[in-house]
Amino acid sequence: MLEVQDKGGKKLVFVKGEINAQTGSELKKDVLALFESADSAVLSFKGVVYMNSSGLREIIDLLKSSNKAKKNLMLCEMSSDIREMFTFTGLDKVFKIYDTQAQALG
Amino acid sequence: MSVEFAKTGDILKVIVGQDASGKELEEASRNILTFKDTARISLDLKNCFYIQSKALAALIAFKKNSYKIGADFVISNVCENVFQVFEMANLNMYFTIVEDFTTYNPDELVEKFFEADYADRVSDFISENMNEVYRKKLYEVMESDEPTLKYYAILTLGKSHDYASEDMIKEALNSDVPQVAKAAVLVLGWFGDTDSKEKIYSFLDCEMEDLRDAAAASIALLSDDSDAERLGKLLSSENISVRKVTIQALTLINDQKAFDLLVQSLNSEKNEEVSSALIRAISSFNKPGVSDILIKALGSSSIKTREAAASGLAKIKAKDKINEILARVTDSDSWVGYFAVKACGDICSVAEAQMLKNSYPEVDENVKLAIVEALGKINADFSEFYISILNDENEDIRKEVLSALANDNKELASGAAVKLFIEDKSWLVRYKALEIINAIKPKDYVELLKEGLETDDSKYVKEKIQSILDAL
Repeated sequence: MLEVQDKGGKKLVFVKGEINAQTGSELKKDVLALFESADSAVLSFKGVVYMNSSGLREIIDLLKSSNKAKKNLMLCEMSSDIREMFTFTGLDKVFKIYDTQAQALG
Repeated sequence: MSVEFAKTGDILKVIVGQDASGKELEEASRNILTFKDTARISLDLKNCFYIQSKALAALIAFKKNSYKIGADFVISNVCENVFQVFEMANLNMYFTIVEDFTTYNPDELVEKFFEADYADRVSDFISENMNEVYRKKLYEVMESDEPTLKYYAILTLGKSHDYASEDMIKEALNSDVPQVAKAAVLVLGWFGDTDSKEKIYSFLDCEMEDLRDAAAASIALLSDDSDAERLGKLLSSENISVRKVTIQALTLINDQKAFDLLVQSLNSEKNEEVSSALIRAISSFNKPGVSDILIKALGSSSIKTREAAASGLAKIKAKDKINEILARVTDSDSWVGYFAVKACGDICSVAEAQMLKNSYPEVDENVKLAIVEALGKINADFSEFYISILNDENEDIRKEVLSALANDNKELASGAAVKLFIEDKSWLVRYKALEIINAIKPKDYVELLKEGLETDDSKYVKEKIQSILDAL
């Protein structure tokens, strides 16, 4: 179960543990459901310790679906290891990534 | 026309031509008074590469007249030369200056790919506002031979998930220009184009490090069960950067095979930098045995490896191994002790903190400092312990202890800070004490500071006292 907070019309989603094919797919489904009642979602990666390429592919797919639905997806609070995975694959240019929740929530 | 008006909704854009005279600008500034239902006026200077000082008065009139009709006023797309004129006239703070790419047509936007300062932001703008006009322009660029434009066109199409361009991007894998091929490799990874994986593998042998890194990353992103083994062969490459990028790719693949290969490689790796990368990589796997590998690495002869192990143990929160980590705190090699403390700092409970405190008298100064830092991360009051070690001979330790004390118990910290401010022989400690006194503001602290201003022999402490007194 995801912990979600409402922050001035934006949904702040706390992602925890491991992002793999299964958890990534569930995350995608849950965030897309949130977009039925919000235009923006910020995913906090503070609690994410592990992520693999299958999980990352699900996050890419989530971004694609979000953009198609004209919704705004942002990521924040990544550990240096997780951030490095985004930089390594060039996805740091594709996603809106912020250091802190406050920056992401604007 | 030297000055053009364009109204969209409640936004009025005033586009200024390079040949606009001061008189024409003044006239335009008066004309905006007729646009009553306007929320924002944007004066666009994208065509102005210099500005006469006479025109500055007209710009000020624009701002004043905007406020008269209740509209915000901004100046957009100011080039460096014009900005310098604003700076010289101290107008850069007076005006709100923004970047507004909506004013540019597709040709002008694409031209900005040549400007390093703009290229990434223009690419983001196009991808966020992708439409048929922009798409057509980017496809046109894809047919050209200009590598910089092609590089950004590919990335922009990738960012906007333009799958219709996939064949064109695949074609770019054959480019002679590594930069173009690199963009194509990355985007095909984002697109999940497994058909291109074999072609991307061929770049792992190339001389261009950027392209090779992109290839390893995209293979990881496109990986299936067979790729870890195939990539793993590169762990024995003679080239250190190839080994390091392979470690990154295997970390991203993150399956059992990748884990086994990394652990196997750790046993034979001789290079310190690569070993520490392997330890960091192994800590990114949620597998049994990881904490044992990291604890073993705490005893490595390489500081980098020990640091990676400590950071890995903290990351995976190896609470089940806390006693084994704590046992290393008093290791005969003080750096092992130091990194053991670093590792348990984030995972210690109050009960285990007692073991850190017990170890304190037996360890070297670097470990003592690490213990004070680690205790500071535990949610408990260790003020009595801090008071007992506040007379340490090492000034860095006294300084750190005083800081930690101030976090746990303001009353005790206040008394200790006053005492150290008066008596301590180190100006560094007195300076820290001064900061704490200023934060807590104990009774009669102003008199204490005034006395310090007379008696202290450090110019840094005196300057700090003076600045506090001035602020009062």
